[in-house]
Amino acid sequence: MTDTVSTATAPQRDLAPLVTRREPAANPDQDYADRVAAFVAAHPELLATDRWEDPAVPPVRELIGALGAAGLLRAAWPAGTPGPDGRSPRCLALGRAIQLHTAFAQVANGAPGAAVLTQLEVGTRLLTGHPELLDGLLDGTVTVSLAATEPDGGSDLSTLTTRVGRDGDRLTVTGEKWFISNAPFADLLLVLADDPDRHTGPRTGPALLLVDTRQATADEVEVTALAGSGHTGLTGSISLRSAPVLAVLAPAGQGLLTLMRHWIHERVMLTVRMTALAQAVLDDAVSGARHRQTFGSPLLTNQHVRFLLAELSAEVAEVRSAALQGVRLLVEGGCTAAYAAMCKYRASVLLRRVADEAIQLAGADGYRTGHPAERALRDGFGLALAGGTDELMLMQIERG
Amino acid sequence: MTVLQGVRTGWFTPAQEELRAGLAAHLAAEVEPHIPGWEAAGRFPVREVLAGLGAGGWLGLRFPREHGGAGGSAWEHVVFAECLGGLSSDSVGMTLTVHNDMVAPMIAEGGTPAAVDRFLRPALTGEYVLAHAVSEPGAGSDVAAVTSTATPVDGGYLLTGSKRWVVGGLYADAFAVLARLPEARGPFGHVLLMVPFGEGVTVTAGAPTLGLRAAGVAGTVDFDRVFVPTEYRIGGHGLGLVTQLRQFEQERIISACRALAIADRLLERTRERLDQRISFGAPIGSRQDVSFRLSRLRAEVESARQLAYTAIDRWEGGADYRSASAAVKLRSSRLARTVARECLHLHGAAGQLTESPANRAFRDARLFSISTGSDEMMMTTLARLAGWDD
Repeated sequence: MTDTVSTATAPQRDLAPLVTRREPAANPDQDYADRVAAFVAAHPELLATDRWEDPAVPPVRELIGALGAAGLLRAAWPAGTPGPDGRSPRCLALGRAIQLHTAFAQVANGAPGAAVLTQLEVGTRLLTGHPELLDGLLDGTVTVSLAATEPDGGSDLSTLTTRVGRDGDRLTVTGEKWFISNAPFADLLLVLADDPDRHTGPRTGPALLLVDTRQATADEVEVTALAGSGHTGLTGSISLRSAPVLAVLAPAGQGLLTLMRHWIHERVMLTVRMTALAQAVLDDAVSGARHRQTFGSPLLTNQHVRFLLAELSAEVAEVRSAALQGVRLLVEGGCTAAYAAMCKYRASVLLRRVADEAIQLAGADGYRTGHPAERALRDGFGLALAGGTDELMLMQIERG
Repeated sequence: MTVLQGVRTGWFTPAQEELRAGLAAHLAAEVEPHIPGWEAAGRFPVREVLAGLGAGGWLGLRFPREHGGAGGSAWEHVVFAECLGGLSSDSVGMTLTVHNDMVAPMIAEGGTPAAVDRFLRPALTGEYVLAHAVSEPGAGSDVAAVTSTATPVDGGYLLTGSKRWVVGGLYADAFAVLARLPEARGPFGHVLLMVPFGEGVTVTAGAPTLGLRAAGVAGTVDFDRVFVPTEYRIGGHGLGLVTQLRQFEQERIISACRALAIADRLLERTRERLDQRISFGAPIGSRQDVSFRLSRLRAEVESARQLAYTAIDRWEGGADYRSASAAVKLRSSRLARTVARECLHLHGAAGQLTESPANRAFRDARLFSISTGSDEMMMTTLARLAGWDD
């Protein structure tokens, strides 16, 4: 050791000036946030929790119609000119979409948010190239759903049994789909179907088709609501029997590729929603722990409870950060399948963990059907499958 | 498996990526090859390592140019921390972090011109080694409970007390010491002093530790009526604890970046090893269970990395980063340990050899949940910041 002192100075580096990041979540659109808040306040009956726990009639059509009429879907769709701060239309739209999905994670146990996300981030997004359909979708007068999963083909969509057919001059599609979000309420169905006979193009393989349920007979398209434990009333099974095809969105060989590109977007936005759901459940758990008395004191006075909640809050913050980076990458057009898979996997694990711990903290009340944590746990199990299973996400992460 | 594309996109400038490449190449060439020997010897030539970094202009990159820094931002220190995490010895990483990201920032931000000249400038050329003497036998996480006492005297303070577990203490030329004032109470009753090693300062090696075996950890650093001039005080009289706590919030993010870089490197090395190692006729890495285990951890590392970058972004943007700092310190510390434990197992019997990098990483990583704010302190901080009263 030495106590000698040098007056030498380190060589100086020429560092580039700091680049301030522009991001969808920064500088949130307060006007849009106010409009969403006003919408929620103005529709207490539509957003009543009980209505979204009733498997018979969750008011999906009414909600999408009202959101569209209020202009909230269109405002979250990339169009128009850059914002006053230079943000691109896409950046502005995704920033509003984050606000929309976050707000809807906080009402009616987050249940309506699933229907909203399916309409905006799945169906409408897949119809981006069809401007003749966009007006109705964004105005909420037309509803849409993606029908890819089959009873024996979930993650492995190469085993499709739904087939493209031909009846004279018109294309048809025949097969069974299930666990299709918003199916019981969909005007338009985007159907993934195998095309071994090259009806849609020069190649074989999965094609993506558009079916208008309003133009089909009840025999051609039969939709039945599924009694799943989660996403109550929101999913359905679909029987297609020579159902007429309105348009070929992607020909044989391109259908699955189209969806694989789309799923990057869907998984990132699902992550945004799942993280917001986890935050809502956590907030409710904190509120419950403040008010619930055990052994003469609020539950929150227990160090174990505070530590658990702190740990969960750290994890929520982490996954939110990952999701927002995912949205930035979407804006820049550089989000990879692996990054989106990482987000979706982390959010799926997070939501189930937060919901499970929140049920534990709430005790028997948390076990009650309709408690926010109980609902989130049921939905969380569904979200570990929907949009790509955890296992599929791990495989994509592995591929890098 | 590779680092996921997009995890650094938009956070770093091309100049910062260039900085990363240059620093990583320097460390790979000049430091990494010597690590097995240093670890076996139980010490490393910190002054030599720092001199190399100083000559390259890699120290104190975010400090003002007039203080000998490069006038950069916290992002350059993230690059520095991530490059340190690329080394297979956290004895080196932790010692250099203490020097560059725990003590040096306090001098740069709260030191007098005399303290800057005396301690910071030579520290940034690598000629002077800094260590941090805060913990005491009765004051670990509860830093306010320190009993080392700085008694005001004409022109300075007389410092008396005993510090424990000082990383780099056996190498240090000067110590940043948190001490209480004799009469004052509460949060405004401390001073932070820069104390050169010299008369009245006794450094004693400690008992062997699980990890960080080459970090020159001093078991005790005793101060016996050491006169410290007022101009070597960091921050105001009575504001030592406040200055220290603010610094903790920043250094925890940097520490998290190093922890996550370590986890990143371990996952990479483990994947490489498992792709080469054959069992039952196939590479172990080709087994789905192994791949899924690594992918789960990769997902956690990359999402935690986004929290670290978010915290830095808030810091640089002047926003409140306290919660993000505590959250990422907690997540990264636990994650580094989990990754190290899993990778140790996946290295099989070879990982049980103490000289194995996987074994060393497991032992070194355990400290993350204890040092620079224990996991329990991070959870306490998060709860308090959220308004969940004790």
